[in-house]
Amino acid sequence: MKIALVGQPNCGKSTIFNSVAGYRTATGNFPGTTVQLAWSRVRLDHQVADLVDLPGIYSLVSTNPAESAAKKFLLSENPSLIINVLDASLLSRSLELTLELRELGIPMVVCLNMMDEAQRRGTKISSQQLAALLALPVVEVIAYRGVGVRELFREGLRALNQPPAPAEFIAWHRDIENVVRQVERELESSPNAQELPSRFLAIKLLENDQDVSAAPEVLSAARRLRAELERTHGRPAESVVMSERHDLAMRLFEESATLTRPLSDPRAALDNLLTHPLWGYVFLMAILVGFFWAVFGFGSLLEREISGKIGLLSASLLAGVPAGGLAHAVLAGLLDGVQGGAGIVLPYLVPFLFGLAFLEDVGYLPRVAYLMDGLLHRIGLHGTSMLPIILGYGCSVPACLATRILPSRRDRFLASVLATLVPCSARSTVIFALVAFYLGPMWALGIFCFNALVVIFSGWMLARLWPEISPGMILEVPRYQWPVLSVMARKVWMRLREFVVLSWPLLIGGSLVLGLAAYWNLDRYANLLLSPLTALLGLPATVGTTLVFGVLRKELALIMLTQALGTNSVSTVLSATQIVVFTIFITFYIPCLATLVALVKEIGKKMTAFAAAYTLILATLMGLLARLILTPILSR
Amino acid sequence: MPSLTKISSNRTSKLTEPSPAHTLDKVRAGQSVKVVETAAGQAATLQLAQLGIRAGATLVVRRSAPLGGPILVESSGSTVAIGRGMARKVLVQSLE
Repeated sequence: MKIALVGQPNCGKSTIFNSVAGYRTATGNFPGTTVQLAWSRVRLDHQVADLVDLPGIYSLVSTNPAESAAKKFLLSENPSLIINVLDASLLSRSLELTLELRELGIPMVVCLNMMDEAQRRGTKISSQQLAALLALPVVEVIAYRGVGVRELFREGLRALNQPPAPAEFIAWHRDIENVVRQVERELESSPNAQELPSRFLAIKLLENDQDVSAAPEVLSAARRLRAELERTHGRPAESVVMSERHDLAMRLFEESATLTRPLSDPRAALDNLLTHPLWGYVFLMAILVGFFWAVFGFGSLLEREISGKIGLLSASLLAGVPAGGLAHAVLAGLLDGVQGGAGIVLPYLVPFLFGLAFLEDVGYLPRVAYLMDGLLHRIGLHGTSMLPIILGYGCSVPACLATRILPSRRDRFLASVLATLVPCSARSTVIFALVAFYLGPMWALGIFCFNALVVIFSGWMLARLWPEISPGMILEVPRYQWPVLSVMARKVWMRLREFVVLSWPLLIGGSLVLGLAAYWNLDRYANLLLSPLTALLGLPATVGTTLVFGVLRKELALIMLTQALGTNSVSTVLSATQIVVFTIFITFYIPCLATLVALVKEIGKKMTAFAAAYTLILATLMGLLARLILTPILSR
Repeated sequence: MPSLTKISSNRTSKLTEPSPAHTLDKVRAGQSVKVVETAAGQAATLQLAQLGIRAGATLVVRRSAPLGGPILVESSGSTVAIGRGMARKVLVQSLE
């Protein structure tokens, strides 16, 4: 038995999902897409069901990949029950989706979530009245406080096996209703019977929905009737159908809700400040600086703790194997990989993802997109690209996967390339350990700023290489909400999984390859092969290997560097300029293997090859630039 | 009963109203407007309509970002950021 949670974005679906699913959730991809959905096996009154949390949709007419995946699920996976979650404070808008969903003829229960918010806004809803009008069970819920959730599922179980009563009782205008019926008749007389209700199909055909199919003669009849609707109403048929649904939702709202004076909301004042044309940017800077400062502060604490423990553990493990042998090299490589993930990346990634989930769930990120859209649009990017780019500071892999929220292929490509250019937590570790440690924290800050400039410039340039007018931003900015810890935890875990499942094994494998390469002295050939590059950048030939193997793991370049140079105090072997050049090169060039895999998944092989070549050229040029500028300044 | 019937009545009064139409990007923060028409592409028109920005709807412009950034409008309880270029395609009338 499958139960689908369906609702508009930010309606609190995930909170409901979490309150019954706990942590025993799994994620999977929709068949044939990269869009993820969360599902969990839940026990409800002696029945076992798979509860699926679908991505938020505004209607069954999809405008982006996530939305069309949710729709495909509803049309093809035959859920036994739909739990339609509504933000009660946005009742009339949310009812449009409800009306569309009930046409599917699937047993359904309506969940009026955020009842407290509706009351604060002065909307008094009679759920009995609404239930009577919709002929569906309606349950009042305040999900973040757990109010009504139990009742919701009880009603859901009761509604099972009871498809909604025929929708005709909610009358459409007669002329449109007649057209719908005509298409329905065509469908019913056509030989290949559909599983979906004919009324639903008829409406979708009138909306010219490409996801539903019908026999050719039905299609041609639908085309004729569409044209008729357009002629009589003076606008496209889909718009006629949509306003019909809108009017109906409006009527339902009027008959089931009364408006009183809204309470004053302190969040309005807060939002006025945070979106202010001047103060908004001041706060944005302060919030981002505070965010990264907190992440790195907390991360370095964790790192010291974890790295020390793992270091001791691996030393004791290695002591049991004779040094210099193949077994020793293999074990050391494997342990390096484990340590790199657990001791270097995770300590920064986990606080980063928590901080990000907080900003996201509080509702601040859409404000960031709003504030940055003007600037990004000048560069040629979509304002929403800011979100994956910020994610890139944590780990490039989830950042690439996050580009799915962008509507166009070109914007997804640009955002994923730029997201891989910003230093992820592994590369930040290199910047801190080399530049901040040997040259001082201001130099590290300088590298971050320089990187930001190069990212902006790259965006500007790539946007011109692929000139296409980016579709303008249309983004709902939800009201601020206090985040629910369990929802945040699940979000962090789902993103962390992408690192643990996809990147960590590659990281361990990469370390193993490195260990073996060192064992068989393959590094000599790598150094020889790369000597033109190292010479160009003014680096000693011995660091060549580090550069090659940095592809496997970025922060490994650091460990490799000390290995290759044969010393732990890098500054005795490398000059200040060389340290900066090396770090800049490592920061920009080809994303690590795990990221490459994620890129191929998201933007395809050809684009990934382009991105890799671009970053390699960029890294070389920027390294050279740093060498030319810094040599006269730093070498006295 | 609430007074939300005005949304449907607006549609008919649109032809008789004298105030000239202009585009949404020109509206100053704090003003209320009524949408006359969205002349964007099919997908964008749909997306706007889903968020309540459609012919006849009343919007309040809350903020207008600097550097040609988006504008922030409130429509029937929800807040939407609309890119400047997109706002140029939304025809509105001022409401006093």
